Amino acid sequence: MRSSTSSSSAGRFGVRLAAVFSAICAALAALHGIDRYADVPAVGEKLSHLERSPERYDTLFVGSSYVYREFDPALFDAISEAAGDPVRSFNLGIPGMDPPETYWLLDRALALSNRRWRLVLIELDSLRSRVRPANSHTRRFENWHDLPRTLASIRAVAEGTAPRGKKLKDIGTHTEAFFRRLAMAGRWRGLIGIPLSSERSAGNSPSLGARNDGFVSLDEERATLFAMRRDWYDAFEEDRYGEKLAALKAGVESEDGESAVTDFEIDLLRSAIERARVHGARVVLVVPPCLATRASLILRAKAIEGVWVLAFNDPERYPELYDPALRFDVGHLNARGAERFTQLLGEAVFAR
Amino acid sequence: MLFNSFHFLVYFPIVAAVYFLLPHRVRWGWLLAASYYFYMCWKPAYVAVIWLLTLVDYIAGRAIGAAPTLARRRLYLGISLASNLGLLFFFKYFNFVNETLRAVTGNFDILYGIPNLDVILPLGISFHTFQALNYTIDVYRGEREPERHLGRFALFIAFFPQLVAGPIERAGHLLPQFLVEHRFDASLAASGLRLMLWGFFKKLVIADRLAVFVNAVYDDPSSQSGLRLVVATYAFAYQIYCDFSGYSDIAVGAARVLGFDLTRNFERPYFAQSIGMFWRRWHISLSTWFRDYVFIPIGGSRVGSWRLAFNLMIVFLVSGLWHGANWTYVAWGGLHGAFMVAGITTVAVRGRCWEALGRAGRWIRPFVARVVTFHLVAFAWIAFRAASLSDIGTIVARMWAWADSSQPLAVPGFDGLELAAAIAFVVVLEAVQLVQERGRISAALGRLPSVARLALYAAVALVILLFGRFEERAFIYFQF
Repeated sequence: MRSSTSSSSAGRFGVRLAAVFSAICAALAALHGIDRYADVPAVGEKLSHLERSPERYDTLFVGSSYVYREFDPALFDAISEAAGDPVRSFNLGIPGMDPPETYWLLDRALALSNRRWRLVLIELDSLRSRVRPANSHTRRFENWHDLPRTLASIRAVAEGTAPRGKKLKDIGTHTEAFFRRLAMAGRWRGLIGIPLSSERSAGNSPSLGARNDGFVSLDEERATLFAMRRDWYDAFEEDRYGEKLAALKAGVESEDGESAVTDFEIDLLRSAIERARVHGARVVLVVPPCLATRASLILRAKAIEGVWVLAFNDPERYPELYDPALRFDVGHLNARGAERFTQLLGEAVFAR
Repeated sequence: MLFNSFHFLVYFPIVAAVYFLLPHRVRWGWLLAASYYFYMCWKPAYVAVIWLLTLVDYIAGRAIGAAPTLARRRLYLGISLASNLGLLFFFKYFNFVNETLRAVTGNFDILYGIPNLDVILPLGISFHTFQALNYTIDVYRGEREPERHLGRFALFIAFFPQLVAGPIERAGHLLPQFLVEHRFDASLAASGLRLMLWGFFKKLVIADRLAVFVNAVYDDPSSQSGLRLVVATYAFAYQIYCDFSGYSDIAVGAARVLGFDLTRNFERPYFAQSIGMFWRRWHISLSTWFRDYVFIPIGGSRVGSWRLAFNLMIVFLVSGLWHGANWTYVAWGGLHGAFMVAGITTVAVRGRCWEALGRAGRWIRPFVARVVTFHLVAFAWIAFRAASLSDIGTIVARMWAWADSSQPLAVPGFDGLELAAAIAFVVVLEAVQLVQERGRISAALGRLPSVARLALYAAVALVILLFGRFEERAFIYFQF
């Protein structure tokens, strides 16, 4: 038995399928143009705020929770003013963010207007070569997966040290995230600017902080989770902190630190710096007072032409930043610690 | 593998393209390999269960066909039934029966020491065991010849579009289709893709959206207001319909793209004007399976009224148990059985009442019948969705006090805007189904200019992309 068909009808089918596909792609391209990531927690709020305040800031500090919790823009601005070189800074730190997401966010922020930026501080951090399973299906994970960042992530995974099975899975996860982003899967609320878990009120958004400058110290957090973290640190983790600190002093890389720095990783960093410079910014790479040495990364970054690296992860040079009394938990500084770190950072930047 | 996964979007075009490129004689092998891969994406080792069922039923079918006496035929059929139902019992019902025995003996202070089994229920086992059973029973009844080609028989058991959640295909319908050389047929492919698109709309846009609200409410019914429980019950009625019929649409559509015709499993069941009609429109492949292999063998409808009521109750209680190893499913089946019996016993009285209303009665009767049927079905869904019998009691009791609470309707992850979107999409669903009910939707689409039709498909695809919930929730019927 045979069921018959003609090649011309198959051709017509192909043309019609292509037409439908093209129409969908065109509509998605238009929607990407108006996307402001409103449904991405913290990222959407910070980008929207920057877009709404085109003349308010000329300085950005982009990075992970170390930046978000430890860089106080108001204090930094005061130090700059006292040094006779006033800047208006914004904290673009996002918890759990590392390259290439960091570079994606920086690009987005820089592209929001035609303004000239004076200073861009970038947290110097390793390229993430493994996907954290908890993040892999989040809106935020999808949103930075444009083509360059997806290819960068895939290459980082391929060149990383994970077992082959994990590598394949991670490459699949990045690829899927790329297509989900491209297809704007489930993004209607982001497009109309009403995120699902909206906590916005007439006043400040949570991730913008009390002064709308993007800074929220850990002591300001009122959620039970943070109180538990604090209590946990007080009760159980001071010893662990002591061990990690000793390892840092001895120059031993922490278990979550990346051991090998690839040329490709440095190329990505270099191009991020170049793009910031195109917007007129002087770029400073900053290593916050964390418990990772990031030694080889610092060494390679210092070799990039015209780049200034400030590494605060040196307990010998900055003992006060490693004082347990200034710690909120093993990884992060508390409000007093953030104040001290910002002061040292400001003095270092504006003394130059 | 889930239909609503990125994996499937890559898998299906590859399977379809290679299928049409291969010569007919090896296509069964390709589809079989693709089907096993589809299943093994879940837990690779469990494909052995399918292999075992395939071998047992293949050999049993051949043996029944070759058996010289009725006794021998019965023996081989018995082996097939025991293997299929034994496997189903082992994986699905052993712990349920064990727990029940433990509870019963516990009431009499009898020590009961048989431990539960630590096994995972193989995906879709209820579906493929029933599909395998209809083959051996049909061979036993002499309604079809035993299949000689092991590969094609294995494909009949494991054909990926309907492997894990049906439709439960009859051997006489699906097996002969594997002999047909399907050339790519653009109109079939277009129709299949259209059906898949509609299935994705129902699953991703409606079912998975409602699931957020339903799960939040039904997972903790004792702390919910009556209003929430009422709304969640209506929401579940649409969630399960869109989830399961969405799955079936994707399955039928995917098979159609490849040139296969699978059984339509749903025919707008909430338009039914009686519970009996509902079961001729809901999960049709299972309803007809129970009709042909349980209801008719135990006497069917050509018996006295008491016996008919008994037969109906048996079928619906077994059907409930088929859905899940929990007393809540038995209660759900029992409710439907009771509704059926009540419907049959009151048909004359109801008829007289409507006649007494005259023309007005004839005019409003279909509407009232639909509304009443829908509400009976929705009420029974409470038992289906509740986690335990006590939860059913809690939910029903709290529903009566639905206006007494100031608790907001919104739950985390499902606010007023989500509710509005869900209602809007359910309205769209009902509108489309109304068109389907009054004629063929494909004919209506065919009357549109080609550009408008293509624009409509693109718009539906965009709606699915933008409004779908892409958390990759498993289809509800996978658990059965």
